[in-house]
Amino acid sequence: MMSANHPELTPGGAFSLELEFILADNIQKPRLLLWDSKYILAPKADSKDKRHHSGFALALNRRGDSWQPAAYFGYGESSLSVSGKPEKLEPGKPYRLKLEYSPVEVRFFLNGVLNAEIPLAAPGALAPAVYRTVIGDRVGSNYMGWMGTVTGAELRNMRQRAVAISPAGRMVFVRLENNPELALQIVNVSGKALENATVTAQLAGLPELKIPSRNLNLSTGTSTVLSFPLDSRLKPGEYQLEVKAADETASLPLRVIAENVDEYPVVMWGVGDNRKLKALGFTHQLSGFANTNPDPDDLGKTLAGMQRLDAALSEGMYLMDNFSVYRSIMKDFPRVTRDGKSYPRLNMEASNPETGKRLTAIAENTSKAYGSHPGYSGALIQSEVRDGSNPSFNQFEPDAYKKFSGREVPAVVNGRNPPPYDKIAGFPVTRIIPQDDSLLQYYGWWWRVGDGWNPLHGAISRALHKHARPGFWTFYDPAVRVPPLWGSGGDVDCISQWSYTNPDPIKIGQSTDEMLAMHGGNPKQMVMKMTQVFWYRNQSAPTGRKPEQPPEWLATEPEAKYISISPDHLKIALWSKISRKLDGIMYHGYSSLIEVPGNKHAYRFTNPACGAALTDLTREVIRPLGALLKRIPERRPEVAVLQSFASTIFAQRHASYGWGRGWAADCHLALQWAHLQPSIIYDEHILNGILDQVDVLVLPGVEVLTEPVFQAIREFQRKGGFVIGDTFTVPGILPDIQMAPVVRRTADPVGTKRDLQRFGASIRQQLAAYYRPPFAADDADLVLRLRSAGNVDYLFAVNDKLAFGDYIGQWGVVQETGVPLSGNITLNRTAGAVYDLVKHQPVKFTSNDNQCTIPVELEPGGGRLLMILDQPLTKMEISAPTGAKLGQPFEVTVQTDNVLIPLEWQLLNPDGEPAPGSGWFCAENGVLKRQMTPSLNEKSGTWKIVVKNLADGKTVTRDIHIQ
Amino acid sequence: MNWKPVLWLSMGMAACCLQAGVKEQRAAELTPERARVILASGDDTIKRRAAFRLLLAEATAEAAAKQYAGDRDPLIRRAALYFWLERGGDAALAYLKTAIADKDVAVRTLALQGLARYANLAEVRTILEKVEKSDPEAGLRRQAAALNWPFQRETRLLRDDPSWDYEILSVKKIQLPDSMWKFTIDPAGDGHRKDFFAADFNDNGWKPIKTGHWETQGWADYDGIAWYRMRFTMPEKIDSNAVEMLFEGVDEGAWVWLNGVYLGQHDIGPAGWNQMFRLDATKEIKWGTENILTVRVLDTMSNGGIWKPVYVEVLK
Repeated sequence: MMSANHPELTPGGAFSLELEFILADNIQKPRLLLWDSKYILAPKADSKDKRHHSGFALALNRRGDSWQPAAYFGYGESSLSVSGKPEKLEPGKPYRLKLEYSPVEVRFFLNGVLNAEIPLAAPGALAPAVYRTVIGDRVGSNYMGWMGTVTGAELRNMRQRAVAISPAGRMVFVRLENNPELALQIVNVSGKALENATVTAQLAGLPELKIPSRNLNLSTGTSTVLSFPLDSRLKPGEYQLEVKAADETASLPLRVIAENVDEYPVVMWGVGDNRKLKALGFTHQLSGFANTNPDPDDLGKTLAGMQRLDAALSEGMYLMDNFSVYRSIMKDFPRVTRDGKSYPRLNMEASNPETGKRLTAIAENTSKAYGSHPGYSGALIQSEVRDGSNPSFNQFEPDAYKKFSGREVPAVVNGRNPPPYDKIAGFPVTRIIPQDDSLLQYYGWWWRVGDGWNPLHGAISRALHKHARPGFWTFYDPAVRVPPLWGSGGDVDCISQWSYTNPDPIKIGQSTDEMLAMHGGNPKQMVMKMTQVFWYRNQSAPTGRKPEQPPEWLATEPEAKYISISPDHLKIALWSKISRKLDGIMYHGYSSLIEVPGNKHAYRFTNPACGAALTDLTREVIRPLGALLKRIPERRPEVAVLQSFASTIFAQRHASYGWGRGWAADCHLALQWAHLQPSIIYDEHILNGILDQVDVLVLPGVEVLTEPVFQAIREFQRKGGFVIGDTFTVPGILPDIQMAPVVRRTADPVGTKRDLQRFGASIRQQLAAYYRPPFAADDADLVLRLRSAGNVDYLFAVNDKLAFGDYIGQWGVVQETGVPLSGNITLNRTAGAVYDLVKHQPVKFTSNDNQCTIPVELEPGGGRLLMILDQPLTKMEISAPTGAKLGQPFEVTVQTDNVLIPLEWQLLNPDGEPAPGSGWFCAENGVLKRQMTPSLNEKSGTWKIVVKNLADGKTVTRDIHIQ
Repeated sequence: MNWKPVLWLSMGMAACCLQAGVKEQRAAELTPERARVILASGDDTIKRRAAFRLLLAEATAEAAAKQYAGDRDPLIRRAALYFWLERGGDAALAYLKTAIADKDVAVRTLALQGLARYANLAEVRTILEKVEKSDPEAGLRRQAAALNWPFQRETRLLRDDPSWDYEILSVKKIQLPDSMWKFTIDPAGDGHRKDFFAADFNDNGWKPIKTGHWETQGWADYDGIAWYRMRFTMPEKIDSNAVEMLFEGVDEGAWVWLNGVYLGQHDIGPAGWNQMFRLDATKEIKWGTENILTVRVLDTMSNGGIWKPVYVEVLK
């Protein structure tokens, strides 16, 4: 039915539209229009045609076998659309769909029952329709027409409110935030000018907390955003903010969450349910903000992102922006070969300044739009872009290289690596090349800065930081999927890397050591490590081979491409990585860890125990000990494995390249099993003098060296240093021991592990007369790692004993199930005390003749963190005032022995509930000083400060009267 | 970046001093005199190698390199050979000629690589041929064959010609048939000595094969050298400035002859498996008649063969 274009059919203020209808049978259309005066329902964001932004429409959109109510509104220069919840509608049955519209919200009712209530931030009144209204069809065409019958329609004005009040920013605040501001949007929908109106805001039930009022002068149909300062010294919880303006009131939910204390981030590299992730122990997850191309001046667009941040933060989850905007422009800036053609694998020419211009502009807009929100805590920048990068032969890279080196790009350069050395005419027989070798110089430049990615990551990081809060951090991964050369990730705040646990989960430790080596080039950067919580099916339980006793999960997920890892692998990998000095940990594979109903992803949930294992570990290890884990220093690299840049690019066959595969990586595992605690160093470490600290230098697959590194190694030998080479080592190095590389047999993981362990044991035995490692254990599967602070040692012990179980062991590819282990650890030092920092108690040991022995019993996949000291801990004292005031800070000092000690700290209110500021910390240099601020709206009375030493389990308590 | 300040903070001081002492003690204990005693009478391989390193670093280096060129430890023999290699000249040649017959493959490998410098000498070429034919290590035989490779040609395409100052147009691009190859494997790697590339070579005994990896066509587990031959007819002469053979993909290295004449190679190692390459055939192509294309392919890992189309491209 078509009407003439009556102005009344586009109401100027609030209105309701109700239609009665019956659906026909067997509808194929994706959309059914009930009412349309808009025509172009969702114009392009940059559309300037005012016709496209006038009138409104009401439709039902198909969602599978359901129908979703949707409404579209035009405002003259922009449009908005909202959708309700999908509903199943039966053909032939009468229904009533009602739309209630106001500039601040839209409500849908189906048969009188509320379907959805959606906030709206209308920029003004609806623009009068330029098209006539059509009921049951689309203006201007008939292919979205109603299929069925419309039996009635009623359009009514609703009571015109004077103003609409809604949030214009976040409604979640962190306790004790500095100068937080609440932003409210006020829209004048009264039809007349508002003059000298007063806007007040008050937290319900807290009249004593005064929020200054604001004056309001607003023309009709316009809006303004008012800011109100908020006192954030509030107890965490939900509050109602009562706002009054021009006789209208609104009650808006506002939430305060507890401030973070010294946390150890646990990041989900993915997107999922905030609450479920929090329950597992995660603190951060990824989300998409920059990719929506935010406009900080467009409140409507920004608000949706703010609400997403609010929703996450109210569950205590911080969001990290997954900045991958480059994907939308990469086809316009492809890397090109010498022939000027795109490489088969498309990769963006990051060296083209235009890409940086565009992407940093988006980054800065994103920072402006969301940087003020504390939940917008960081960003992942352009993950995994280097794998497809190759030298690009537009003018940018060749010109940049000429400027850098004075040279042209060498003629043999056609890809991301030079030809192997044995294919390069004139390559020295000695395989020792000068530091200024033309190919070495080119590729060193290209990998560090030349392809443009590292500088671009840095530029985007700086742009994102521009309007972000202190503590915002950016990261790049996978940071070591490049040759061993400092500088990966550019100036991002943190580097990370993911790896898989199969077949040997301690390879996570090998990969982490690569990260620490990369970090050597930028010590200010943080380092984190990610574990993939899934396995490739073909590497764990290959399809095409059904075992005789199949596991239960195979019945429900026979075709799964990626399956959950086993809980014991997760545990071993966690212990392996936290035994290194990291600033946080990450996991990828949400739907392998958390069951997702109707999961359509390729990552399948095949082992429920995996998530439970992570929950236990975050609760028992990460949260209590995280503050300590971040602080214990690494020891000097007594046994160092060289990953040489020259060797990697000219002889790639042994290189790990961040994948943890190949002889160099397996050699590292063997040394771990031999209790030799290998570190990884680069050529650059050697050029900076690290060999003065090294006792044993291991050279797996080091086929090429530069002259200065070669000479440094020879000098190291001359000074008594020990070198272990292999059959690939450059011939100019006469090693003390020559290793015969162990060949990995994928089909025989047990035999390979045994061979590698034997190999490691043999190396240790040969070294015995020349090098005394700091520790030993009587079982190769009892993997140890030592960090030290002064005379205090922190020993990580991990049970790496595995067997084929009944999860995937039937395939014989990966030993996935842990086995209990009892063993003895020997440290080459005397001990006066040993503490178990996970169980918070002393442990038995014996100590004499510069040696101490510690027996351990580890559960499957289990780990321990032991603290070994010259003397038992004796000191723990609290100093605090006897009284304090609510809302006012007071200082508490805990004095301990002069070692790094993990402490649990609780401030309990008179009801015995932990107050914000409670948590886990680390005393340093014998002291932990903290400023506590009890919330303004807390209870007066006698509070308790309870501090527990997580080494010996002792507790001290102090009362404090707070009023 | 200065490693030291970070490390001094983290060290266990006692452990550091102990280990630092062990290193220095080891260095201090070893004098040239002691080194000679160890080398003469000791059984400890590690001590002997440390001793030899010391002697090589001292004024005694040349004498030590002479004396221990035939030592029982192959790594000491190799280190002595390396000393001579760095010296060069006639003295080096003498040691290289001895070392090429060493029982240890690492010593022979270094000797072979060292002999490459002297490949212009007839006696060295004879040695290389002998290695190519009879060294027990397949890798060494291949290396020797590569060093003794009798075909040389520098690829010079029209676009690389500095005197060519015009736009290059493709006048005609003829794809060679995918299914007319004849094929044989060459595990011994001596097909080039049996004239597999010659225009009149009788390839009747070779098998038919199509463009595509040979593993999928009946040679499933083969890594090594193989040969392809194809006969194709060119049209009558087209007005042009150059003719190039265009290979879209050979996995992984290729050496090419046209009508028995060597055109050149594509040999950059395994990374070459998916890289297009061109070879100039302007002088070798025969218009209006049959041509014979021969390709020697080396595959060292995974799949191998001419796996993407081959073209004759006529340029102007």
